Amino acid sequence: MSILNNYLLITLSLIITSLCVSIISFILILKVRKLVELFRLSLRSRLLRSYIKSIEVRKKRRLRKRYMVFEIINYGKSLNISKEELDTLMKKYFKELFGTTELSRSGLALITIDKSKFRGILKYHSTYRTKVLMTLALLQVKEGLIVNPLRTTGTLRKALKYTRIIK
Amino acid sequence: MKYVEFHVRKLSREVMELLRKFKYHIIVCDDAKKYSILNDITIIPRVTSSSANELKTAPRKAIKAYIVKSKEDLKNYPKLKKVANIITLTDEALTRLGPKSIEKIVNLGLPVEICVNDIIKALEKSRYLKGLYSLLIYAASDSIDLIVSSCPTKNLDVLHPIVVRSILEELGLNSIQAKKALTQTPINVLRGIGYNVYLE
Repeated sequence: MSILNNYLLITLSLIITSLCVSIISFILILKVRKLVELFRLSLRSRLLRSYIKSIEVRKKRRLRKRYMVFEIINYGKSLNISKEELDTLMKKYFKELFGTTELSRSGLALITIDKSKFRGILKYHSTYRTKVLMTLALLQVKEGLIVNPLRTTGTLRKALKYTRIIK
Repeated sequence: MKYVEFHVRKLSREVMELLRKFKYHIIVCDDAKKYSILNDITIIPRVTSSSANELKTAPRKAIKAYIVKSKEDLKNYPKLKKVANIITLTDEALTRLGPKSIEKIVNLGLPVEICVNDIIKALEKSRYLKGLYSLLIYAASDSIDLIVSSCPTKNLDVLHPIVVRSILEELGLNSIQAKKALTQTPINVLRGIGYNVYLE
């Protein structure tokens, strides 16, 4: 009898502990679920979304400089245009196509011009590449200056190197 | 990267030199009478006309381009698919054609060619390019094959392919579509006629 009683006691205690464990786990799951839900909601929240958006915008806002090495095709004739004149012409046509605000944002500037090699370096912000190239097309059509874009680099040192190297 | 200049109106030595410098590998010329290779550039003949009968009598291996100036040119448009290989839109068409006419052209299923120099000249005069903008909507959604050329008659008209691509990107196409208009679509037209051409 005593052995049977012992067995009963053990089974009862096991049942009670299992019940306790299940109740505790249920409570914990509910808590965790609440936490997960809260986390999910916080991800959805406007504040967080706007924060992520602002980070993306900040990334986009970072304008990288680019240096374009170009060549003026002049069929062996001497180049009659000075650096300042070419710079003002480029800015004039850029302004004509895209306006003053875009011109100031683009950071377009003619860095150097090598009259003996008919080559020059143009500086602009990376996002304005297509606009600068479109300006070159207008320059060709209106002024008769055939500009051949040779290479684009991220540093002036490399651009200067390419002006000497490229044949 | 090598490109195709799909419409050279007048081929001179200077134009040829410049095209080679700008890495054009294949040119399609109104002046050429037969297929030839000169200074590593493949020259392919082309017939451009606004009359379907003239295109019928054109040589078999020449590219037949049908010019569209206004909506009257699209009157006998079901016949065009049998006669022409491509449809060329002039500067007048780019400004005058409405969405309905452009839809007609799109429904034909032929590649459409536009000239970049015409676009630049129109932009310079601040003209509203009604036809071009409705055409670009179809081109952006890939429902039409667009071919772009600078249509040079003299050396000043030859534009660098990167410049042409950037103009297309500025007009609203993405970089892949802009590249395709200068490489893959012209090659597909040439292969359709029977030329075994490729770009390295």
